[in-house]
Amino acid sequence: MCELLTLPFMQRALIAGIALAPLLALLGQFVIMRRMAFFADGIAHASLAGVAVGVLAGIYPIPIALLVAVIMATMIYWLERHGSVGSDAAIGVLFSAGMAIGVILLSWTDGYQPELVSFLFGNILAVSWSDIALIVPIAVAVVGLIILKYRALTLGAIDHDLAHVSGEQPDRMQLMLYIILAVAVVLGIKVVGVILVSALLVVPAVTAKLVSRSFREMTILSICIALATVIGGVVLSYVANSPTGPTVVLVGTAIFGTALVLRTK
Amino acid sequence: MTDEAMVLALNDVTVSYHGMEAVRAVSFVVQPGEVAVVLGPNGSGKTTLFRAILGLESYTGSITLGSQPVSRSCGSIGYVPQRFHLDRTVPMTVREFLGLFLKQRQDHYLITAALEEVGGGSLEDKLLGTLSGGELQRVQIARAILYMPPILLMDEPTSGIDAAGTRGFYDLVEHINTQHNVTVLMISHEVNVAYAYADSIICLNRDLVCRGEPKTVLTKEVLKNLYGENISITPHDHQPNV
Repeated sequence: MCELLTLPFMQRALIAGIALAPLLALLGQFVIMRRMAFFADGIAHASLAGVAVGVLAGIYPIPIALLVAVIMATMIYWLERHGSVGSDAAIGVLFSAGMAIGVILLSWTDGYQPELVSFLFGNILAVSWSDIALIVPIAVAVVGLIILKYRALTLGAIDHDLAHVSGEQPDRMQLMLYIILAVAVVLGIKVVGVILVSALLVVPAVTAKLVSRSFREMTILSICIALATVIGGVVLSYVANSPTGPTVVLVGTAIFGTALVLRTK
Repeated sequence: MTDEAMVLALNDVTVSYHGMEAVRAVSFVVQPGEVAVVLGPNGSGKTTLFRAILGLESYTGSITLGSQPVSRSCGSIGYVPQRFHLDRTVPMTVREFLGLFLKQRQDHYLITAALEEVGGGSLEDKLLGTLSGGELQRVQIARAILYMPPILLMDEPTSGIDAAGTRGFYDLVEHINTQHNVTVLMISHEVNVAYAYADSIICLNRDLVCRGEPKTVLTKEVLKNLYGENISITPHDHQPNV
């Protein structure tokens, strides 16, 4: 284990994972309370268009993916209110369109595209110091914002009308949640990839929900489970020489399965 | 707050959706300390009217609390909704839930006081998902009266509660009204509840159909106007059964 920590790529992967786990775990609570797992999945897939633009232009792709994800999140919010399509349909359309644009753009680059596979399934070797420089400060800032607005975000997730009557602005909070969720999902892509990042958002929170006896306990447990999932998954993927994203997700699923068995006993 | 500041007045209030009027030119005043029941069939605009009062729907006309628009009276109106949207599998205790509605952290003693007030002192550490319909409504009232607002709006608060729970619930509402001088404006489908507990009735069928004391305004003609010609009315001499 100590030897692993001396490897620079492992250090970077663990730093990124440890910064992202609390963020995704905190957001995961709101995602399951609002039943919006599909939103996170949709944003992750749609952000591939941003990744592709970056790869094609030969520039660092994550900021472009962040921009695309934030635009998509805002469009979904707008369509939910002003469009004549439902939320799920709006996400479905934007998600498939973003993914399709991403794949077409990437097909314009010559030869094999390792970037595509790395963004689809995550790759610890692909986490660079540039990624760390972007992921860590944004993750810390967004966690700070969530803590600051925790009451309003929780109230909005419980009941829109009660939040309004309590003097909060639930619509504004919903838009904020959509945007920070989009940001968190794109940051998570580097570790677990487009296909699996929503699992990292949902699985720790759902597992914690199974075994918690209070909301506070659920919050703390979600963060601990997310950290255990990311660290365990990254280390196991190195030891077993398996793809990082799927390994991280399977570690999370194993913890979920254990919690389920313990709960039903 | 003085009695005058607690007068809820609606003047020519109209709420429209896509050009359709859900509530049409409704005007009435709810006096301080009153228990007013809004009666009307499904789709008559009762909930829409409440949502307008709470600032959840845009409207034309005016809604004032005392001398100022109701939109500037944040915190002066308590609200008990018909349905509670929280996923019941989320492990949130009653104390944690009520804590979300405190204005300051040091006000936590209000949680115990509000729960005691509604007869729910033993519920504090229970999970919301394990509560019965009646217990959940008591928690909702406790939430609405944490800071004992001058006006309490309740939207069909006993739907989903059994007969025994319903009687206890209305006794509780009466207690809050008489002991704390809280004005109550409540939507109900139950005409017998209106007879038993209301000081005044507001009959709504998009327009205002009637307004006044229950025994005066709830005539056969008004009820037919509200619920249709096929309504069957059976008068009783005994106390209304809730």
